[in-house]
Amino acid sequence: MEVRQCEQCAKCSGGCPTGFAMDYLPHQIVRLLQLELKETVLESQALWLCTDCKICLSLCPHQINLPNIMKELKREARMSGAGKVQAYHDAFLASVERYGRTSAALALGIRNGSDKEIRWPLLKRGKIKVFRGRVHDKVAMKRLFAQGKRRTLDV
Amino acid sequence: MSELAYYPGCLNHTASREYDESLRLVADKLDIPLREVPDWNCCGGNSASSLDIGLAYTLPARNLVQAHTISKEVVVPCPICYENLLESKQELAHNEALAASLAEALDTEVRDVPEPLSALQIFTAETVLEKIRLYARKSLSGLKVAAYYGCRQKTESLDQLLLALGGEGLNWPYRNECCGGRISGGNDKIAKTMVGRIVDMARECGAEAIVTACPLCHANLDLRQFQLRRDQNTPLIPVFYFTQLIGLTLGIDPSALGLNKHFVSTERALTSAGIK
Ligand code: SF4
Ligand code: SF4
Repeated sequence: MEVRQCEQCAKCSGGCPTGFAMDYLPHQIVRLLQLELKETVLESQALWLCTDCKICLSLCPHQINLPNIMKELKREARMSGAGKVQAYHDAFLASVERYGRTSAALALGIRNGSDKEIRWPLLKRGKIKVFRGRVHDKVAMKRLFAQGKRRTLDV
Repeated sequence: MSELAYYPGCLNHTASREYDESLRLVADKLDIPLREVPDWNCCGGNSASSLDIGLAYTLPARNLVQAHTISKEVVVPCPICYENLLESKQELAHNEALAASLAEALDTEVRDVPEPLSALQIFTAETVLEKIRLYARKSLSGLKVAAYYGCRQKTESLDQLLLALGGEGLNWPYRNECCGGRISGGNDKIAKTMVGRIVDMARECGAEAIVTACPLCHANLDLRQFQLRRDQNTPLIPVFYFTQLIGLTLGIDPSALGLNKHFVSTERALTSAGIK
């Protein structure tokens, strides 16, 4: 795995825009992976704070693809049930599975307890719709999600 | 110009409706005929890739398939949707198993899917800029605008656009700083901190307005700034979609461009710049 090449220069963490809020900084995540402490990594909040901005990748002297590693780890955390999986992603995907589209409230995370104060200002501007647009071809959407679940179980 | 497929994306029908509205109006004025992709679905946003990498490709791919009867290209306003559609097209080109399972799920052939083009790319093509200069009724010369590209758009095209609109992009360091839009759902406090830093920097550099091409950046900068107002006494900086700035210089009515849908008022900036 490419993490072996990491020399712990911490350039990635220096540039990471959400590092200030992470429990383990990006270079520490890599170090934990080097030490094969996977469980600690899967439980880390840091995975869910990665914005996939790719700054770390642009700074890394070894082109270690942390954004992709973070995404893989998120999938693993979600499957193993080990991690602090964010309810946000589950609600988002449930909405896409059901309606084919997602609502602004979900995209902005309002249902998950945060941001209640902006619900009314958004409604007033017609930015949250009571009747959301839907995909008519429900069968296609169902099949796509069914394939996804099968693949996830197969791994 | 022949008709182009247009994929609005979920946010453009809700939180960033003014992006959609202004884009359509401006496209109309500039003779770029758009047709909405029929029965489009969510591209999977930031979440599909956290469930299953296959789904992260097949959700956007269905839209490419839906668009293929309209044109060889599909215009995508949101940089996140754009990236998802693009990566999906690239994956489909060499992953036969994926293409086969997609064809099975959609019960159709999957071949020659269209090429995604970002809306910013379309509107800043030299021929379109030329047309904008030709049709312009107002100028942005009185407004100091900071072009904000966010983490996805590694171009200079917003600055080129500002020049065509009679203005000039401000020199400031945070043009590519990440706004946290992709994690702001469920992490609003963190997003507010990130937005605060960006807006403070813009203010320090003398910006009277910010322009963006991303609905997540806009929702984040506009809405979170409005929320932050409670804690600060500093003046707020209005955030525009590039399509709204084009519309204003073409003389389109500000409310038709959705300026009244913003959280941070655009009034003062536009009045003092003599645009309104
Ligand atoms: S891609 Fe993720 S880990 Fe890398 S700098 Fe951006 S937020 Fe940090
Ligand atoms: S920048 Fe690259 S080499 Fe340096 S600590 Fe981060 S991952 Fe390791």
